[in-house]
Amino acid sequence: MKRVAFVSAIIATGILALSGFRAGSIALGCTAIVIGVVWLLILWKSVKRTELTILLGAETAIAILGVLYGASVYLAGIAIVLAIMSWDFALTETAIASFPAELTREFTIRHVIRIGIIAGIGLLLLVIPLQIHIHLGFRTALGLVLGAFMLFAILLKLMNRHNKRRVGRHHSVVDRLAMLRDAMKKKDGRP
Amino acid sequence: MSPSGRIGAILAIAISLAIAGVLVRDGRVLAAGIPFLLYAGIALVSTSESKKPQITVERHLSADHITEGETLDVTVIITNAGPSISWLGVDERIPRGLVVTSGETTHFASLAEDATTNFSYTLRAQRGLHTLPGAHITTWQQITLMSQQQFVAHETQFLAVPIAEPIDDIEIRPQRTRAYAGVVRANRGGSGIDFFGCHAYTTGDDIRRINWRAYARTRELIVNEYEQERIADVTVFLDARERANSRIGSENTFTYAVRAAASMAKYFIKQGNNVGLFIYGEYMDWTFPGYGKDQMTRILDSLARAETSDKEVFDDLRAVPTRLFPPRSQLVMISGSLDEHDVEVLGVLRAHGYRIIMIMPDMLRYEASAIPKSEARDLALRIVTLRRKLILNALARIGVEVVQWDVADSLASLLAWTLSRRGRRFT
Repeated sequence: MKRVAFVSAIIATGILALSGFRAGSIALGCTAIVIGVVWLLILWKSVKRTELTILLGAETAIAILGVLYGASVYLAGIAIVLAIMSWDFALTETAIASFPAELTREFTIRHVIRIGIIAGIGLLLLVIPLQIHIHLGFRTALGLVLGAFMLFAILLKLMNRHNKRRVGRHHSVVDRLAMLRDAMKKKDGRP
Repeated sequence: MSPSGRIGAILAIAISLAIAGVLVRDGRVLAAGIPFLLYAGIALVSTSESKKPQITVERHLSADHITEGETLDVTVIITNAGPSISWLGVDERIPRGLVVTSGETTHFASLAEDATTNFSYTLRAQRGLHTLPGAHITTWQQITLMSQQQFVAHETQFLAVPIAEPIDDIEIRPQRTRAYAGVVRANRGGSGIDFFGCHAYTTGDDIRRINWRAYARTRELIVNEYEQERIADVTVFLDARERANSRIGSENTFTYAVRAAASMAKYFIKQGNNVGLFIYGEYMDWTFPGYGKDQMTRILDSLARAETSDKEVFDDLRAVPTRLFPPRSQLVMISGSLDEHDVEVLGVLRAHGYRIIMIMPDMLRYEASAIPKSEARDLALRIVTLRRKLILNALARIGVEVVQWDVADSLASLLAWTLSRRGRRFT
């Protein structure tokens, strides 16, 4: 998994640096290379690799700046997806590092495939809106985005409430049974 | 990084991109946030509460009592009472004082609903009460990108008791013995093996004991008497005060003192004596005197738990409750070092009729070899040796039998000479 994380990070850095140089910004290209090198160093040396989250944000920022400078948005999208992949592989590798390699091999293969599929879908979802041009007013677009966020938040809240109710009901039944048992033991009827 | 932290970070980037897209009014920037949103969405849905794993950990040990340095087989059984888990990682954190000699303390497998999985490993333990606290469990559900980590507590305790070296032929002579037959000479005439004295024949005396040579000389019937052999009360006193024990790196005289206490207790119990244990340090740990294998187990359990302590209240031996020890019995005291106040207390004990054997584990040679040779070291060594000699002389004056034990040597062979009948006669 570490190897895949390395390869993903190198490709993402290469794409970002090339995009930056092609867009005419040497500073952007160089920054992408520096971030890429630091990323690789963290992958190689760091144990917890929490710093990668900050670097993921930085790489995304570089990609967006490149797009704003005139670089291809598709290349930036590929770089972002590869950076997410590398970040995920690095953190997952940390989580399974303490387990024997021969036992985690199958998990690693499945995880890489799973992330690959999600990355493919993510890339597809990134490309489709850029290909389909629907002209919306700013307010309508903002309303749609906010609505989507709210819908997502409501869905999550409903899911949590449903689960909490299930857990709570179970607890109350268990508690009442325990109180009843205690009362029977004491034989004075008091819990 | 926790799953919620990871999702939060990804969502923060997605929201930042959305805000940036709105601010610069560029759909491309907004679109760049889609992979992040997708990732966070899938992660959020799959780590929701309904799929929280319900795992129980069970641990089976090959024994709950072992001798220090021995190995112990541990089998960990993981049961999944909740929905099936795609992947499960179990990590047993091994506490200090235990070493894994074979097997793995980690396990990785998939676990169906109500299914179990197990793994085994072997531990080597130092003396003490050891607690295996529980297992760190990491799970990955079917479509989850995130792992869920939890600690499943399941405490399993076992004791590693100290090594008791087999000791043979120590002679003790307490002033008072018990009524039952044993191997301790009671300083009283009767039936026995060793000649004790003679007395004039009285009705009821065994005629086989008449000393016919004496009769030939005196024309009076004289009967031989033999020294009675009985069991005795023995208290093993372990000095667990921090200052009474020296420490160099991982080596500590206390480890040897505990082994000596176990060896002595085992020897006296094997002889059929009434043996108690008193540990003086953290608190006064008193194992009531008793006989047999059960008593040996009780003593070894107490010794396994013994730790040194530097409590002010137990700084000197004045707090020792002498009433606990059977009157005029035998005390076997094990202490790394003593001072003048301690000698004073021992003097009082001697005056009350207690017989005292003092075993002093000595690490001076070991300590000296660990320090680089210098004038200061030599001077310090001289001072310590002189001070030790002074204490030993004071102990000898009050009638305490001192056994200076260089821990590099075997205690059994040293005791076999110093405290045996032959050795005593020689010294």
